[in-house]
Amino acid sequence: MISPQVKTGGPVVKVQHHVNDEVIRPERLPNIWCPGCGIGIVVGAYVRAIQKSPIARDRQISISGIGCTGRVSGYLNLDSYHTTHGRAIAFATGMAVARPELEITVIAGDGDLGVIGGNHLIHAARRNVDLNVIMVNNFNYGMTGGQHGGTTPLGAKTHTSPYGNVETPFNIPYLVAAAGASFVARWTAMHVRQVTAAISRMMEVKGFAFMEVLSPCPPTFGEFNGYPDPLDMMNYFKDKAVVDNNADLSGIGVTTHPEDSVVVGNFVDRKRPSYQELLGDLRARVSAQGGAKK
Amino acid sequence: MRTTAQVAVQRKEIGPGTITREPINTGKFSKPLARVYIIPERCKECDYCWTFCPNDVLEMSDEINASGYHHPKVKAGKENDCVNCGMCQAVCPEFAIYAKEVA
Repeated sequence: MISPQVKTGGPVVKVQHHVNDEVIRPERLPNIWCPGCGIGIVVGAYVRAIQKSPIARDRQISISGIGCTGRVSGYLNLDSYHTTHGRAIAFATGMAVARPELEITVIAGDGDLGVIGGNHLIHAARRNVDLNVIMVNNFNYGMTGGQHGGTTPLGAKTHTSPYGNVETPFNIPYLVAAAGASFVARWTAMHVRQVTAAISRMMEVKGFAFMEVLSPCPPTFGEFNGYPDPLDMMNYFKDKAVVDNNADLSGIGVTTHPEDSVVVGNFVDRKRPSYQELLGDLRARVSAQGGAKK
Repeated sequence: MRTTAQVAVQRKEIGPGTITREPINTGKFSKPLARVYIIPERCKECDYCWTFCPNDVLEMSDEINASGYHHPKVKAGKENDCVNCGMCQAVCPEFAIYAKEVA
């Protein structure tokens, strides 16, 4: 049966404004990231999670460090902080303790969070500070030209490891789960809906919520490792990703070898008292007994 | 109006008396129809939207923007195939494309 009013989609319509423009700073676009970079996809997922979230926009805080992913804060129309190298979590911890009502999300790269700020990462997970931390892992230091780092897979070629990397990389979800985080996930830039859903869940979790997002880096990592085109690594993630929420985290290191699978999922979602809760209890207990004992 | 099951019996695809069921609320649902919107100046031709569109609605256009990148366009003959799944918007790293349901 044909309805009397025939609707047509028609050809593509050119416009000036995007439906997500209220959370980003459209005057700063196009962004600085290379064509096909996964950071923009993560920002899009974060923006849509904020639009869906019941938390008011003026309570959402975004903090980032240095590097390609460090530029995220500059594109968000939120209270956003661009901090020193590796210290994004340290800034965020201070803010989360002083103003526990804020919903703080740290978006930073693998070099920033996992290598230069590695101690801040594991200690924030150990304390279980109520933060959301999104690590965009592109396997190398992209902004400085593609040096190998703490997440570069063993044997991978970069500008500073032309014959193959001889260092064993971190297995980041295993590290953060062992340190005590409440929520640990890993997804890729290809799993756009799962990334958005995980960010929404991270905003609900009371405690340290961590997600690693594997991202293509075509010009500095992909070019030397068999993924020169943006689509190559996205197709690798699409074909080789295995969703296993109950995976044994000790065996889920990423090799980026075309034959090896990538284990993704929401691995850990557990209840542990957060740092802010314990601190609030301590304050209540001490003030009930009339302040500190002399 | 005959049900799908009655039509199938008449076409001898299934025998008479075969138990067939049809959801009683089929008429309540319709396939969404959406229009694709782009901001050409933000596009960097990463190929993601036209590669990962589940309905294969998009393709690269011949036009270029100020930076020299080809932005996406709707394939000829696919104007009514966008079902507003949101994949192009989600996978675009540049906030350059979205679809909106036709009112």
